[in-house]
Amino acid sequence: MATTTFYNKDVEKYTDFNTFDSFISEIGMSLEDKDSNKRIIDITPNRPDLLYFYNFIREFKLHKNIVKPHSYIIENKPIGDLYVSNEFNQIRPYSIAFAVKGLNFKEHDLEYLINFSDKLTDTYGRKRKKIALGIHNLDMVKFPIFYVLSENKEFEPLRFDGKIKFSDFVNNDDFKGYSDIVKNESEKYPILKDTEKILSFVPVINSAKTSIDENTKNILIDINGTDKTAVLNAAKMISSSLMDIGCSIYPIKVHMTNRENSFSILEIEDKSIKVSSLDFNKIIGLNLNFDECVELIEKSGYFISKYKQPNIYPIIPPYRTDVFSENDIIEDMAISYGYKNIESKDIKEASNAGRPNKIQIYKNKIAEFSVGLGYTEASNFYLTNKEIEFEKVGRPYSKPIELMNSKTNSFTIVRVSLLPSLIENLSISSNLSMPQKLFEVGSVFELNGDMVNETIHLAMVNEGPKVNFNLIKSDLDALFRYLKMDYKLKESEDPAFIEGRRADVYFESKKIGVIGEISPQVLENFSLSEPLIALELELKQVNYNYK
Amino acid sequence: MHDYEYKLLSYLKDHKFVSLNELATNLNLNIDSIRWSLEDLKKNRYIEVHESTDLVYKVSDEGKRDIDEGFPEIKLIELLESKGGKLELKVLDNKLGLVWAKKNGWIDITDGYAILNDNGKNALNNTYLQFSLLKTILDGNSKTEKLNESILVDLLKRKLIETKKSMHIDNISITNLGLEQLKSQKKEQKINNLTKEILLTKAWKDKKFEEYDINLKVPENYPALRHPMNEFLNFIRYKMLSMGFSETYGSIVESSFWVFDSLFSPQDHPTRDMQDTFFLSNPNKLDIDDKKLFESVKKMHLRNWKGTWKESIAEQPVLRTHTTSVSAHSIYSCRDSDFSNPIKLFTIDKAFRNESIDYKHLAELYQLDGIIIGKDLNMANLIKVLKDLYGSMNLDIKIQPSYFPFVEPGLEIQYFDKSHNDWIEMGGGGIIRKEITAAMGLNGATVLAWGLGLDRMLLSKANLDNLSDLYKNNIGWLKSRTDLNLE
Repeated sequence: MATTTFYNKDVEKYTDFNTFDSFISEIGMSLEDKDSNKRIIDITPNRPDLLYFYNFIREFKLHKNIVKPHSYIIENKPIGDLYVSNEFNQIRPYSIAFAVKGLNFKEHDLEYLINFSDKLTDTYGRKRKKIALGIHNLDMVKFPIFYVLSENKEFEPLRFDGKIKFSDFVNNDDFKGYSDIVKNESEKYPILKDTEKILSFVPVINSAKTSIDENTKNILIDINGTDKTAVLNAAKMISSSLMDIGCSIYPIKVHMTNRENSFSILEIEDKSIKVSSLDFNKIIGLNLNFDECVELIEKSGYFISKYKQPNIYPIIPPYRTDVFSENDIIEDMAISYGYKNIESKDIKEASNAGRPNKIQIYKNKIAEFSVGLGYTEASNFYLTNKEIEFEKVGRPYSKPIELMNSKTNSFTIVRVSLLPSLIENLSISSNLSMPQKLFEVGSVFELNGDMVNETIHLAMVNEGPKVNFNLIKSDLDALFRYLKMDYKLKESEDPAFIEGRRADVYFESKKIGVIGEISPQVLENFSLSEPLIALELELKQVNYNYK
Repeated sequence: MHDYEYKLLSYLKDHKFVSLNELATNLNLNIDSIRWSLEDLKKNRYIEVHESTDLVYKVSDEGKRDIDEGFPEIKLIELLESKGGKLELKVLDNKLGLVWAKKNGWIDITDGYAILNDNGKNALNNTYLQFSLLKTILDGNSKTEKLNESILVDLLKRKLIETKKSMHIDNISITNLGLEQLKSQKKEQKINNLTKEILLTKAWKDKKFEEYDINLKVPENYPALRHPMNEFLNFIRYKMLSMGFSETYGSIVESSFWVFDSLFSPQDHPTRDMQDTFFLSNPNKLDIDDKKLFESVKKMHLRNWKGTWKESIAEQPVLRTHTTSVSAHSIYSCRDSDFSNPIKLFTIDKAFRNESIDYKHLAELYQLDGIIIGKDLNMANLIKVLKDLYGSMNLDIKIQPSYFPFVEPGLEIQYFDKSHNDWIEMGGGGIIRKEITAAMGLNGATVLAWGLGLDRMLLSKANLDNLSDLYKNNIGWLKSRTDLNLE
């Protein structure tokens, strides 16, 4: 999620704060923070257009019926040419540019525009990887302009106060910013230039020479990136936003030099989607008439090109990048209607019987039994590390699921057994009276080729001055008697236990676990100072069930 | 009346002038508890205790010193003997020795000389009576009558011994008041420990029970308990089952396909970043066996998100970031149903986030995911289910729009937190995108879905403010924690 900041002074020009704040949540955004000067609003990733103050206000006016939606048209009158070199094309395959005339920045207007473009390229543009965007003072630009790769030379970056070589700029941790995106082997640097000078180091920073300020009236916007749809969407979003504050848009002819007659210019398509009022009522669970549905669509900002009951054909506004199908518009209509006004309705159903899950029933059964034996239940993380899982219990390394990129050192694998974590639990509980009895019943995971096996295990630990092998054996006995199962014990070689006081548990000639007295070396590894007996059993293979 | 007191009185009724030892032997009680009971009986004037005072002697500190170091007069005659039996008085500073040696007639004093006489020489070879008496007293034989009177007087005079008085119970007898009390007690003799014998003989029928001090402090006792999280998860399960949902179970290890791609999440979506998701190095690939599904999901992505869609990215294994991946499997599993009755499913299990752990964040969290698959389902139905579910937990909820890639329309559930006096986000939901249900081959069915994290809901119920405290498993906390008040 991205946040955006609006100044109270500006909000006040349109509405009171109460109305504004409830509007924020009514359209699914959230007020992150507010003080006497400003409001910080969380914008969901599907509506990057609302990061811009004037778009947010437009949304407000539409919802409150203060303005009606309109259509957006850009006249096909290019005012200049942009030539993209083949080399540039290799790195940033998609480009678009346009000019904006008639700006009149007041108070925070410039800040709002810059923030919008920064946040848009950060979120929707995936930190400028997918799209990058530059804003330049149009009156300082000598057309035509060029996207090329440049040799290493000096340029004047914005907010830098002086000249610096590209190579020095990208190697300086304070400045380099987004330059990793365009690092290439040829040691060449992507730039936008006009006939005289460098306009920007793409997608890192603009040049100071064509920078804009409060007095700038006309600007040039260039957008480039790796995703055609995203580049075009960004251009449509920015151009329509600026049209709505009274500017005129003039396309620039973009020439891909590898194809002679191939060029593209910014167009705002007139794309409409069919919405049926019947579908709306069906999906939301309402019973509105056709006119009410039309009004909801208009409140949501869609200009309606035509309608024929029950169908309505709204045009997707150019600033909306999140509208794929009818349902997206139906959601907007529901938002305009107000979620809080939707009356809840019972589901019609013939029968209503829930089935408990067998694995959960089984786990609960084993847990209740263990509590009955006086063991208290622990619940440990599935994530652990090799030190606890293998080294500290003296066991050989088996085949755990391994994490590739954990932020936490103590989480590097998924557990293969329950016992090590239970022993670890005792080491933080050691100031309590003895005996201490803990158990856990839960899943452990092991690799079987490329497959992952999940099994339900039970582990018990019992720490105290008087514990011994026989005690844990009688608990095992009790469990198998309860489960109506037979078991056999055979000498074990599990290094976590004391030799001669450890046994592998066999059920139907398959080894399913181990019991015994924990070895003093293991106790020392976990800083435990009382004898400890333990068991761990593999009780059930998990089969997934989805219905 | 205490059981012991009753026993004592009964014995005294039949025996006159009884001694303490006799009571102890015949009643088989220890002396201290008898003394203790006698005090009470005496206070109530149920018995008379005849006590006498004995005079006893005790060796003083000086007496002990003389026993250790020898009497001064003995030292003197030993010295005289060693010096030939005669010494000038002025070289002798043992005045006390001189006085007692003279008194005992062991020396003569003439012309400024002390001379050891025959008596004195004899004394050197015999036991000194003062010494042996003093030793006798020190050894505890202080009965006065057997001791030599005149020597005692000497020792007292020399302050080598002191006299002491000692109280002593001669005998005990019951009073009339005691007899009366015993009579009345006889009628209601009380039972202390209820025994098998009392039950078998039905002796309890005409007796009362010894009354215990119910305010007495008793040892603390702590039970074995279920882990609070599991108790809470079971509670949520009961709620869901009672509303007619069936519980499903899926794997925590999934391909990105099931966690992200099948749920309409574009391949370059920020949640698919290494920063947020646990990717696995082992296994490093999970094949999608169902090629038909694989192709239709691929088409869904290319049609809507445009750009590229890579199979290798979909095959990357991850620890599921939400239990909605289980719901995705469920939706696909139900594709051939006729949906004549809505299919209502839920899963409660762990989801994983690559978070650095602190009091607000864990790397693994329990989630609830619920879905309803059926014909003609709508948002109003979903809102009803949510209100029923949270209403049954006494939570006041609010529904507002929100965005999740896999639902359209989407909603967020907020509940009113009384302690913060504010609405807190609890979970999200909506109608699963038609693009998804179509790619999974569901025809004519709508899927309502919602999900929420459960760990934070438990925190306040368990009186904790730190999420990771839930999984420390300190046995003291696990056993002494209080009821979660789930209702």
